[in-house]
Amino acid sequence: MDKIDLKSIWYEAHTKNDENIYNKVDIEKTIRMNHSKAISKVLSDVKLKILISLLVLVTFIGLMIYAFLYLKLHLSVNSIIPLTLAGLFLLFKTTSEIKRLFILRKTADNMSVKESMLFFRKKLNKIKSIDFLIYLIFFYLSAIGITFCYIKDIGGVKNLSWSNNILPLPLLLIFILILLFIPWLVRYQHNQSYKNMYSNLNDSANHLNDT
Amino acid sequence: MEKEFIELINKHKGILQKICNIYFYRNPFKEDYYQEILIRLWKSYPGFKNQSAFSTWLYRVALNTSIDIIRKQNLQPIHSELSKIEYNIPEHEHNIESDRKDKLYLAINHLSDVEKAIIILYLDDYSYKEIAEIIGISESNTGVKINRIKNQLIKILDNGQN
Repeated sequence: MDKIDLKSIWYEAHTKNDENIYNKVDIEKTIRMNHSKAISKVLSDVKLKILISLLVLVTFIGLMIYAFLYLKLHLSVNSIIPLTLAGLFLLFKTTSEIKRLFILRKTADNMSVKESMLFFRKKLNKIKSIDFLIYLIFFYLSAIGITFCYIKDIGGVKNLSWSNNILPLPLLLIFILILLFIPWLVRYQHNQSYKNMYSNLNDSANHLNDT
Repeated sequence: MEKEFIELINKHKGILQKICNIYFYRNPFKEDYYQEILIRLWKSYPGFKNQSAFSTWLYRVALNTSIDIIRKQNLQPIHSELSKIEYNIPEHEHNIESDRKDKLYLAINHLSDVEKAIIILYLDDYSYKEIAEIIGISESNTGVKINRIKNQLIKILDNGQN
């Protein structure tokens, strides 16, 4: 075939409608739903994950408050570090699931295709920036706080023990460095998790650029 | 409003079916995504201000929804867990009679999401001005892109026939 007439194939393909799967769909019933079956399942699963993560996080925080403030428990650093890491993991897990739900629910259907794409990319970047900023403020303030407590020896930080010895300064420095590194790790994780989405958006942007 | 919306959808059902067939070609969740498009059309309907034809608005929302579903698919691993039986997916959708149609769909499937949107509108006889409006690019750019996509499709179809 020398010259293919795309339009004639298109018309031919759509003059006879052999797709009856759509005819089964009851429009009136469908528009009363919040989402279709598959999308609802995805959203419910994310919500369930958020709920579980939040419950575990709240229980963890409650137990920590009970142990340290009510029972006035004094633990060694080698016990505090795993507990802190566990708490950080729970916090990270909860926020990333909330972020996922937020992204899944974000839509901009009434705009042009290009505007919708730009709007979504802007929102995705905004989520990344807010996320990064929250972690940055939280962990940098924590690092400053720990350093201040160590210098001023508030709360007996200098006397915290590590395997029956006094907490060595290098260990504290490593811990502070980990705290300072976390916001960048979160940003990297965001880029990795939404890599396909970013590549899809960038691909669309390239296709929509003026020639 | 609901009655009016349903009537309009019934009148323009074909557009939605074409979009679903192109974006979710041989996708086991095609019917489900068709429903999701209907739901999002209904949710967006209050935003339809009669400034453009209903079909133009319908195209815009349905294309945005389809592209959005595809964009977010990697965040929805659960889809693979839903059983095929539950969705009553036929094992072989391919029909010899619709060979040319399948070839065209397969060729369009090679295009990017945005290119698919442009070519559907072109094949459905929309003017460059309308396509530019729905996609959000200039008219001259639309012309350039249509020619490029057409050549690409013809090349794919030609190669498939050789």
